[in-house]
Amino acid sequence: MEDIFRIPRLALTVSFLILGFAALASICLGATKIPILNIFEFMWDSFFTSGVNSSLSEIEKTIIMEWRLPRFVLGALVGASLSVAGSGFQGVFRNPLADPFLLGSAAGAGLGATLVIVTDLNVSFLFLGSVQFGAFLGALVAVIAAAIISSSSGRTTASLLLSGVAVAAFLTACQTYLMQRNFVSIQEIYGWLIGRLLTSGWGEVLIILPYFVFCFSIIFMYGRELDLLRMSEDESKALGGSPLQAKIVVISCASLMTAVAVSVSGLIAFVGLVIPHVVRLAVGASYRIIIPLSAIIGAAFLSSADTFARSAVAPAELPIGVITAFIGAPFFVLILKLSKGTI
Amino acid sequence: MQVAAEKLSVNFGKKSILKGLSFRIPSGSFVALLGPNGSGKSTLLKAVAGFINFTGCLYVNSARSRGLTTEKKLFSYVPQNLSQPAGMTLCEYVMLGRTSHSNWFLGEREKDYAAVANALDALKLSSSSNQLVTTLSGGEMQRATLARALAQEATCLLLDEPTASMDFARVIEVINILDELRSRYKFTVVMATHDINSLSRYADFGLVLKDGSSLYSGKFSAIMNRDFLENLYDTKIECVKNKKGYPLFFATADNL
Repeated sequence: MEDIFRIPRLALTVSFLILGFAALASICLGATKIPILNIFEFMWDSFFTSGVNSSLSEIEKTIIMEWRLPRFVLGALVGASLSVAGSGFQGVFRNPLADPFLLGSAAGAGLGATLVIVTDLNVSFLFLGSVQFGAFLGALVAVIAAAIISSSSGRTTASLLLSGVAVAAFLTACQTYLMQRNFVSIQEIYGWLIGRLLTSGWGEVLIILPYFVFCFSIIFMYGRELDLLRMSEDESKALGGSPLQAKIVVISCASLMTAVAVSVSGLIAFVGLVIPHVVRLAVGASYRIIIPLSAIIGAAFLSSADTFARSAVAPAELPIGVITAFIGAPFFVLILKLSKGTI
Repeated sequence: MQVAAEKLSVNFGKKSILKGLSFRIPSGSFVALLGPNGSGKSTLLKAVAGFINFTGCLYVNSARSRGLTTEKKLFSYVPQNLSQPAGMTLCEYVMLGRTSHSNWFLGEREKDYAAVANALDALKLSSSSNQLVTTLSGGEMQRATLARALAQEATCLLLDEPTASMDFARVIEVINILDELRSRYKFTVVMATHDINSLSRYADFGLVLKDGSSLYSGKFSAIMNRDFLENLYDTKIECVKNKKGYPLFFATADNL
């Protein structure tokens, strides 16, 4: 019998190819177009001759190394984070509609960012600017509040879900009130809310990378527990699983990686919901396969959307959240049609 | 696996669901857990499994226990409504039984795949191993849960009305397979059921609950009489015997 939980080689190869194309497109396209052959030449020279023979100008090299490459990596990390967090939430809540913002992290991040913008607070931390740090704290506080409320009202999955809904509604109301009272800041707040990758070199990448590696590794390790959770909780326990521990660990890691991701990207819709479903339809329903492939495909999808967002009307930029929803929604409808009720 | 209880009680809030049950189930028994609706059968199974808290004493193989889960005992629990996860193949479903045996980091090894192949073979499901569990019939699904229990090397099976939604033929087929496996692998079967007629040939131990209290525990044949069942279910019951001499009981509803 062959190993049924190994990621299919074809799927893995195709996923990495898609990610590779997304990387090339991200580096080539933008306000300044850089020919693809020159990029290959630059890469070759960088590895073997320290870049001295490259036909790229110093400005183009700086654009690649200090602007586009970090932006691609940041987009890939945000996309991978949201997709893995989405897979984790869908596994824990056994609900195909679950996404990374289910427990109020979007509303918390929105309120945090709004609060910083309207009060002009200076709370920057490491490479995170004030708005980003406010969003990070807001997202974490929202999820922790939902967890505390839920623990005092039954500690069931449904109570956690409903607590998340209540917290999100309350925080959104607070945010709306703040926006309504501060007309001058509305454009800035709105610009953040619809999502935009903010980069200033490699700083943001260095912030998000350790969180991503840590949280992804933990959620990946809990893939087999998420598979057990597809049974009833009692069956899962009888089979040797620890459903409560799995839920706490996966929700904590998924929430942490979502909070870090939204702090640098704003609220990017649809990625965390759609990508796990696409992977599930393509390669099967085991979370041991869905989680790693969601990371790769999510990375490719978001970085491609970002490339489109900054090159379609260059030198201006479209909000990336609009692109992901604009492409993602019709694509998801197509997926639903193809799935014939298996989602 | 031998399971015994002394003054085992379960309370949900102020409501008492199980009231001081005492019983001793010999190892390798086929136990019919009987009782009217709401008598506490499912709760007892969950308490023995360790899914819910209880007071009193539970003994597994003569050692004090807080339930089979907490002792990491190899047992299988089959709920009333079977889970049929979308997109999961039969092979993946049976492989879940290997969770406690396989390595957390390295995953499944050759012996795990061999155990799954043997379990599928024993239940005559090898040809369906790549089929999605959502496409299996009720009977096949019950066999799949038994295959999973075999792959798990379970020594005790707790079944909560597993045949409730099955037709006549599938009920007998599943119980027959269950009994064969029990004889071959020497595990203890505890089956909550209302279908006493189907179990009459197979069960050797009866555990009877009424209103959360233990009405009887002992040889199954002793409760296969009309007076006992009329008292248990508070209704008129008729009894006939089939060609092999096994009694068959029918509620007549004459008293309604």
